[in-house]
Amino acid sequence: MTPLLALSVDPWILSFSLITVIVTIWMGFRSAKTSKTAGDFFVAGRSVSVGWNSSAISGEYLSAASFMGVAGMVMSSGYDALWYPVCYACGYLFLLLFIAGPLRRFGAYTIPDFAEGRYDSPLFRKIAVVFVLFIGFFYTMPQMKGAGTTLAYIFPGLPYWVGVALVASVITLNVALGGMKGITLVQAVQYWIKLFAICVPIFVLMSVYGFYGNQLGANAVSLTPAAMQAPAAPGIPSAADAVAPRVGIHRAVLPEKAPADAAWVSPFGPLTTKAAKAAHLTPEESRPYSLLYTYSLIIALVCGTAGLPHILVRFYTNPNGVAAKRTTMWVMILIGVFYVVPPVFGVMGRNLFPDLYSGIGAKGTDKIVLELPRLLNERYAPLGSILSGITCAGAFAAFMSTFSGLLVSMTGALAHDVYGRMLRPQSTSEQRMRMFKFAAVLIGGIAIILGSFVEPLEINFMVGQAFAIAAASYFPLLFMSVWWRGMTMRGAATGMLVGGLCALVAATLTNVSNLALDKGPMGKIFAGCAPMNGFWSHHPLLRILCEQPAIWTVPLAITLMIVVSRLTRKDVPSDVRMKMLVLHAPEQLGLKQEYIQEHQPGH
Amino acid sequence: MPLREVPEVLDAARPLACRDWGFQTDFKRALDGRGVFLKTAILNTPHSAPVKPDIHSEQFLHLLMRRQLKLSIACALCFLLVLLGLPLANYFLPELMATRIGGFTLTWFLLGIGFFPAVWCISFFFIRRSIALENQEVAEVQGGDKLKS
Repeated sequence: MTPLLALSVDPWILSFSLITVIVTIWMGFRSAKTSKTAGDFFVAGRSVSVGWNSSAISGEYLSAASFMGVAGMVMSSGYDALWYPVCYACGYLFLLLFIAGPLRRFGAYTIPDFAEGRYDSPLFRKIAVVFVLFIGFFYTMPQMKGAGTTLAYIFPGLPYWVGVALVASVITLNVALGGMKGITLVQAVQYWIKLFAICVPIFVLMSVYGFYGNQLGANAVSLTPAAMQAPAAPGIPSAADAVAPRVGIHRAVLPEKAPADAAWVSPFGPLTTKAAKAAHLTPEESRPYSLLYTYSLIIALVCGTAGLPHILVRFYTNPNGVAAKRTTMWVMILIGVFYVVPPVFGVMGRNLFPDLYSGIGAKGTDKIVLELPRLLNERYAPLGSILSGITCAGAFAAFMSTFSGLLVSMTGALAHDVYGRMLRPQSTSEQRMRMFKFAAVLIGGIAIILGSFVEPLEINFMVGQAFAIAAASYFPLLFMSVWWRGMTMRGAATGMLVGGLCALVAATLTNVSNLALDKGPMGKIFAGCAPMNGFWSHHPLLRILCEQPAIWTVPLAITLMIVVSRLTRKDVPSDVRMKMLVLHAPEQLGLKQEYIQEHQPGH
Repeated sequence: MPLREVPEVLDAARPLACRDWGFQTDFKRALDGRGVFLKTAILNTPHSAPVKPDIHSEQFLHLLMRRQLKLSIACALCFLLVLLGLPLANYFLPELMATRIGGFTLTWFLLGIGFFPAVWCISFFFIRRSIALENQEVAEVQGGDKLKS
């Protein structure tokens, strides 16, 4: 490190971040001592209380996308980006309504376990495992971008990929030594770190620079003159009042690249009209496209939450189905409270720190959460650095916890399913533990490589894609398997594979064509894909369906499941009624034990 | 647990496709208007020979799934109405949705803040009802058991 680089490092920010990292690692190592058996590693012995478990799920769920990405996207795209935090939180309701309870009662370590158990098919397990890895890697990339961005902020001048490699190695080590038991404790603590780290700075900032509503009020929409002159009903602020500039809100000059106020603050803004704009459609013509985009996004996020493998695996750590439901309720409250805050950063960032609009990659709007509190240094000298240090610590907590959760579930899939079930069914518990560690290192390595490629892409956008893939693969599988007796293995597999792969291909196409537009090194690597952008500009509808595929892939997957299941009706598992009873009957009836006893000789 | 004593032959003996519709209507009769199971009605039905609902029967499963699915769908509809309605409101009533409330546009306020408490209410209601449903199912089956023994 050059002396110049070392000088520009803010000691406050560095020390807060270091403390978070060290505490995380320390907790991991400490709990490594207490987790000995393979069961401890996979589902924490199934003995986690509702409070711990809901904090842990929330901690795992609030990723770099929530902590940094939402704020960055609200800043860059305005209103439309609000759908992300809202649907991240509300997707849990779907999980609760249709999937959480039954899945827990069925009792299996992972989704592939469920897939095999429900259809008595080891083949289906192999198919299902693939998607744990697909979704996992898509979800990993934005976490890596968050890590690279944060480290590039703490150490100005540090290359993006070094940050990615550093953070990924630390977490991989932690997971390889601690396993799930360690992770539950770490995740739970990290939720509270994140909540603290996002709330405290924003309340200080708001009390200095003006509150949420006032800040947003500064982005006045210029309404038509007629609307402005319309007399207001008493008690209701008229449009003219609202447009009148709010005193005391400081606004920096917006750079050219920033969207205009009107487009930013209203629905169907820059995010959803991008494809239509590229096709040179008029604003009127592009509105239906925007609506389509919005709906597709909503479907992806809501259904995707219910199909995230690294979240679902945690339901098995609840002691029973009632606890699983209570946990989901608490998770919704915990993440809902959190998600109100990041958009505030975006709104304030637009008014106070618009320079970021001109930055690209790790220097763009994705780092607004880290950068904004530093403004306070102008007035109350070290306070800005302290608060910025706190948000950095929160960002570390965010991508570290999510990445460890992902790593555990992907590693679990490799060690438990691929190795333990497919390659070496006779392997001893000890061999599996060794495999778990090896798989963690392998996946960590792949994550570093993938993470280095995605600097130009927005964090939140990439997470949205992971959700879209989950929505088209696991969500239909779980939803239909739980509620429809007529499903067959072939139906389930066809629907999941076709839907999931379509979403995967669509997301990849979008990403490579976006990367081809980059002005940095990635643009050169992906230059071959540049002609696709020409194609998109002539077919805005196709572009939207590719960027947000959920609106067609989810129905496609479900339809295929129904059609193929009907065609292969004779293959419906013979004991389907018993399986459904286990899924739906209250656990106190003891059907689960009965089911296991029945199956003992066969397995 | 007395449940283990239930002969499992029943399950194998009853083919999946064969739906005993007559039995089911008896079960429907055993429900009052609010979907609450009436134990006395069961006791009186001629088919419920072992007195309690046979937990391995097609009817018990059907009833179980129907009640839970009904609750889930009702809550989901409530949620979807709000979730899918907001973009429509934005689309067709842009000026109303752009009304300013304390600096927020109406639609920003609804989406950025108002949405979360609404979802909490739905899930709170769901969890209470669904846990009550489960307890009731257990009570039905175990109540029957006690009578038997």
